[in-house]
Amino acid sequence: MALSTIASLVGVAVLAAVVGVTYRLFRKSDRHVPPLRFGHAFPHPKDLVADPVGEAYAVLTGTAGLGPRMPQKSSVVWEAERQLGIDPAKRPVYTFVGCLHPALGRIGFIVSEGWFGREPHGVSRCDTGGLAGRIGGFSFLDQREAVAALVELSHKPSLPWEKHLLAEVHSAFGQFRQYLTGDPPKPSCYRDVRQKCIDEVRRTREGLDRRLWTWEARGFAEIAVGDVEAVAIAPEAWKELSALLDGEIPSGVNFLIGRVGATGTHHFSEDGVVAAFESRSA
Amino acid sequence: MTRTLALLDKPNRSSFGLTPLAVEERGGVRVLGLAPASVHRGRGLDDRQVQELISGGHALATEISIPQDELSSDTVALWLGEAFAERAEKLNLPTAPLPTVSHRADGGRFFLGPAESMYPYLEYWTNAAFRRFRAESDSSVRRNIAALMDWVLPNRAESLAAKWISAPDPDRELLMQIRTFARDRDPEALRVDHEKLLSSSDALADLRLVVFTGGTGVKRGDLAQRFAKQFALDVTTFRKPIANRVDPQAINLGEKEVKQLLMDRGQAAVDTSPLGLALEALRSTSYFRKVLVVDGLRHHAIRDTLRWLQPRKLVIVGVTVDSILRRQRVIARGEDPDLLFGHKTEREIPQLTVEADRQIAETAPESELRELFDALQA
Repeated sequence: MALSTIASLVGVAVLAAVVGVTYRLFRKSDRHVPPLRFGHAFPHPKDLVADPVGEAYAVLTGTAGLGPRMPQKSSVVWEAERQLGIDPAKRPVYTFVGCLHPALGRIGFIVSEGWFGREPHGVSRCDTGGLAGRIGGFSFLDQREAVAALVELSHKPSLPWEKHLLAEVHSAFGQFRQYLTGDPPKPSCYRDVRQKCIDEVRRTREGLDRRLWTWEARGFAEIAVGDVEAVAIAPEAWKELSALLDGEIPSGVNFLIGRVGATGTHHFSEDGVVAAFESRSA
Repeated sequence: MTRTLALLDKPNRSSFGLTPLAVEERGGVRVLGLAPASVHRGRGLDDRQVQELISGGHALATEISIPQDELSSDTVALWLGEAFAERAEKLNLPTAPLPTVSHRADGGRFFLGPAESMYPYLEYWTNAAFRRFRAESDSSVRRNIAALMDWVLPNRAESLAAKWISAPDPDRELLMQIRTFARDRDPEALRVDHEKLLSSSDALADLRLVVFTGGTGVKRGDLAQRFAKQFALDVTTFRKPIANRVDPQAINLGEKEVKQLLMDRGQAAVDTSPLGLALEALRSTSYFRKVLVVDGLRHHAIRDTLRWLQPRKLVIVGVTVDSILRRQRVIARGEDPDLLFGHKTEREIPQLTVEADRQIAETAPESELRELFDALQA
């Protein structure tokens, strides 16, 4: 029993190492793909009794990492993870590629490739939780379509998914910036169920939810302070975090702080967020 | 009817700030108060997501019904936290007179209005705090003021300069600023800017104001103009910014209807943001001699706001006239004096006149106006 457990653990560790090394080798060998950043807004609004500022402080001071979260709509997520071959005992951290979600959370981390490269699970061409649960814009799919799409739209990290992402962004938006800033895609640009959902939303509702087309990345490693390239933070949240940090801010992390003015509130430093995702100096 | 659901970017009890808000209107959720660059973040939000933002510590629940079908998209919540108000009071740094209608929420209260009218509360409080900071010699009080400014507009040059000069390690503070609000700035250039700001003075500190109050029929405006002309001074009125808000279609209305419209809009402007209205009036003209004649004071809130702004000199003049003559003038204009004098924009004027620094008859001779001018220069 003990031997078989140890063997399983060693097997998982070896597999993770192989996947991670393969991913890094692929990234190094492909000079045409710019580094992509991952967005992680936290705590997810579904985390009850949460303190976003306290959690950011813990990560930024190195006393905690951001690990996987227990989902509220667990049956939906378990089903999605089962379809994606994820062991319930070892769940991933979810991020969006080039996007900070959920909307209007007070704090988001912009995370380096290094985090994903450490122990990647895979990527999907949309929000898998929403797809599996047929939530929001995905509600136009039936169960069979959703399950099939979950598999069809997901990629292993060893595949050149970044090229696929950039090609898709190019055809759907023209510029990467439009994808980053949440512009809706051009009409009829997807050749999968996402197009059906987009068309239905456009026909029946007011706003398109970008989780229909924003790519998701899953990695098993915790997000640690060293993975955080930038913190996007709303004005009131910054006041609290600044008081906690008391002048001690971690090196290598940029703070993209929103501000208020006579035209309203800038939730984050919006230009800074785009720049941070676009690989320029944040 | 509009229902507020939540203040986004959950404000803290130690803060004095602005937040966007989520409201329910006509069965849907709208996010108000986001600047154009951030509007995309509020698109497509639904009630379930708002509740999740509240439970996740991202937003503060509010359940207020507003008797309006639709609030303008630039409506923000001006937030005054309880702890902030206490600390500000201890430091003798009160806020400017606040809007008439406030709403309570956990840890403080808030006021709704257009961002353009609400933002000056933070901006001018920061100016007032900075002026006080520069004049203060006690280093611990200076540190407390700088710390409080950090809970209002931490990105403002004044807040950064105060924080830098009062920091135990100014060099470290400068580097912190370069990594947050002063990104891409050169440390040396930033230090020079801070020093310049700390040794400069703001425009209001040099401004002398003479403000005329008096109700309809006292010919207050005529006296204000005569005074300005006699001493070649610039004049501004509260009427001007209010008239700018009136629909161009009002041009087709009669004189009486336009006056009523202006009075109603004026009252609404005072209720929404006395500071905003006072500043609009002061900004609507350029004053080269650092002396400005202001015509048309009608509210205590505006008078108190002008005092709060702490110009170099403020003289309030109550214009008086025989009450029978005043009524006759109003009747001659085809209006009912009792009805007119009962309007909210007229009700406070008698008391303001009594409490004015000087009472001057509309027929005051030039010599009396000369005395007033000398008092202003003293």
